Amino acid sequence: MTFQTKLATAYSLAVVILCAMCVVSYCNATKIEETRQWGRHSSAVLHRNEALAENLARLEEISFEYAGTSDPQALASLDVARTGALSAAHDLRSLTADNLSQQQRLGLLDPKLVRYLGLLREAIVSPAIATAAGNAHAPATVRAFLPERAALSHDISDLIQQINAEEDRLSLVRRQAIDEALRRSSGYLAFGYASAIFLSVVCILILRGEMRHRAAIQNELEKAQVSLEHRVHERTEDLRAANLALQAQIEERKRAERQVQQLNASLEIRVEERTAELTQVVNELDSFCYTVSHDLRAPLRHVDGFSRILESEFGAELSDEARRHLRRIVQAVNRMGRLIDDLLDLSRIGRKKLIRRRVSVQDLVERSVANYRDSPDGRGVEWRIDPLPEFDCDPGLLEVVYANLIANAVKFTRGLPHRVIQFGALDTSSPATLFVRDNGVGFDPKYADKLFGAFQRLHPEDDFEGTGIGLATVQRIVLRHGGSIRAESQPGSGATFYFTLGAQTEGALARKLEEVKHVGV
Amino acid sequence: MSESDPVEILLVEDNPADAELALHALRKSKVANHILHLHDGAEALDFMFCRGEYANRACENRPAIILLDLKLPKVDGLQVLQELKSDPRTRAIPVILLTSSQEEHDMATGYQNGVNSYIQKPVNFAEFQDVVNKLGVYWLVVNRKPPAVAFLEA
Repeated sequence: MTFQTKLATAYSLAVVILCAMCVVSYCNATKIEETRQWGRHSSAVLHRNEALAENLARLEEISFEYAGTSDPQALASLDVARTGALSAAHDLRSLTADNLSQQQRLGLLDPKLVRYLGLLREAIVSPAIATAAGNAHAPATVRAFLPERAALSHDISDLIQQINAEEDRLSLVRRQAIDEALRRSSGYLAFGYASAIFLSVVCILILRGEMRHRAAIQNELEKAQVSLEHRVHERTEDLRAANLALQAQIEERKRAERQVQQLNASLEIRVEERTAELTQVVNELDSFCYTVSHDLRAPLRHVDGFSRILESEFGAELSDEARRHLRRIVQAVNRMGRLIDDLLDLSRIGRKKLIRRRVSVQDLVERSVANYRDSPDGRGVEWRIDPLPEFDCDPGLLEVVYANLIANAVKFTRGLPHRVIQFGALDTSSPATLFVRDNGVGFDPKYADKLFGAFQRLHPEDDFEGTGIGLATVQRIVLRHGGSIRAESQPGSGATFYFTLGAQTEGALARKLEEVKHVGV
Repeated sequence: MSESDPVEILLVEDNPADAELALHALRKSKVANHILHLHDGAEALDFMFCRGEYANRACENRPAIILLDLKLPKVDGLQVLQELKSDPRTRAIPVILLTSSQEEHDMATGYQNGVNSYIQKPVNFAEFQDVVNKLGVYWLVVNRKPPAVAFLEA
């Protein structure tokens, strides 16, 4: 049961009890008042009864007094007493109208009273008349009526006594009823007070319990509030600390970012400077190459030219040895010319812009081989061309690669009875590795690393001509494509050159982008 | 052969050794009687436009071909070529660049400026002699010279 229900129940009960007490008290009071009324009524009856008795006694007394004196004064008093007795009897009749037993008694009383009064009057009047007329017999007449009068007086007194007794009895009964009602009322009041006190105590107990409960709850709440405030404070502190740390981090980041920006800026400046420097170097290199190609070749040409003129036009005048020396001069000059040409090629390849396209390696090899098929150099060569893939590469540079590798293969198979030069692709790798294989003189694998260096030769010049720049050029082209090159060989059992041309997908992607750009333009 | 003979080949070459070799080769090829050798671009332009030192020469006598080196003092070969090819009096004369440069750039500029032939001098003199022979035969024998009306202003 909740606190409110308990309290409401207790209060309702108290209110009901109080109301009941009010009703009961009111009823009691009304009843007491009514009983009192009846008590007063009884007193009035008794009073009138007494008045009747007194008047009758007075009448008796007066009548005797009159009989002795015949005083007219007494006669007047007698009338008063008589009227008083009749009035009292009349009052009694109306007062006890509700009481049957008293009415019966009064009914008995009334004729007796009338007779008695008549007798009394008769006794008085006769002597008085006699007296007035001088009649001497009058007292005797009065005395003649005395016994009846006495009997009537006795009866009347008796009836009055009875009425008195009856009223006394009624008064007693009513007093008892009042006492009873008062007792009952006190009992009710006591019960009501007790109940009210009990309920008040119950209410107080309920309230006290509730107040204690509330106080406990409030206490708990205060504790909880304090702990909550404490926690909030702690959390706030934590947050403040975290915030400060975060701020510090942000500051650090910003600082780092500024640093990075500064570094970037300085880096960009440095890159620009380097680019400018590099551009200058490239320009210088260009002009150097120009100088080499133009100025350095000129004196060579002159040496060669004049040597030949000397030989052809003045040969007859020279000794055999002098002519032999002249030929040596011409040979040396020609070799130097080739060296310069090859070096220029190498440098030009290094500077040339790489333009990747989809290239049919098959077609390119077929074209390169075609140059040799009918030439004296390519005589007797069995050309084996396997199916070759398409590649993303610079076609001009790939042609230079194949030209050099074919020239090499042709050179080192020269003089063999059966010359085989094979072109193929290994599809074991992705992108595919291309290879050129010959059955020529081959080389010692321990010198394989020297193969691709400029001016590196593994064979004597007298056996195989060459400047030693061809393979360096090939390697440079392959490296510029992001690929790699290696050679396998054993002396006397031919050589195989394997090379790749870098990631193909990127090239394809770049080409696609390029196509898109073109379509866009 | 005398100085008054009309010039058949004009050789513009500053390097005396190169000039001597070229003249030697040209003479050996026997395609021309009168070869004039000039040493720089300014002189070549004076000769062609009959001014300065050459103000009094017979200007209607034009060389059949001009052999021009690229690197020349004062006015360089490409500039000489530009001036010759931009003037109606000289535009029709075949100009052959005879140079040791094998730079793509030089070649491209030469052709863009209307050169008629671009020949790289081989180091080997025998090859050079062969080239000069072919050159002489082609331009002076096989090829028909431009008619006089080709030099009138349009």
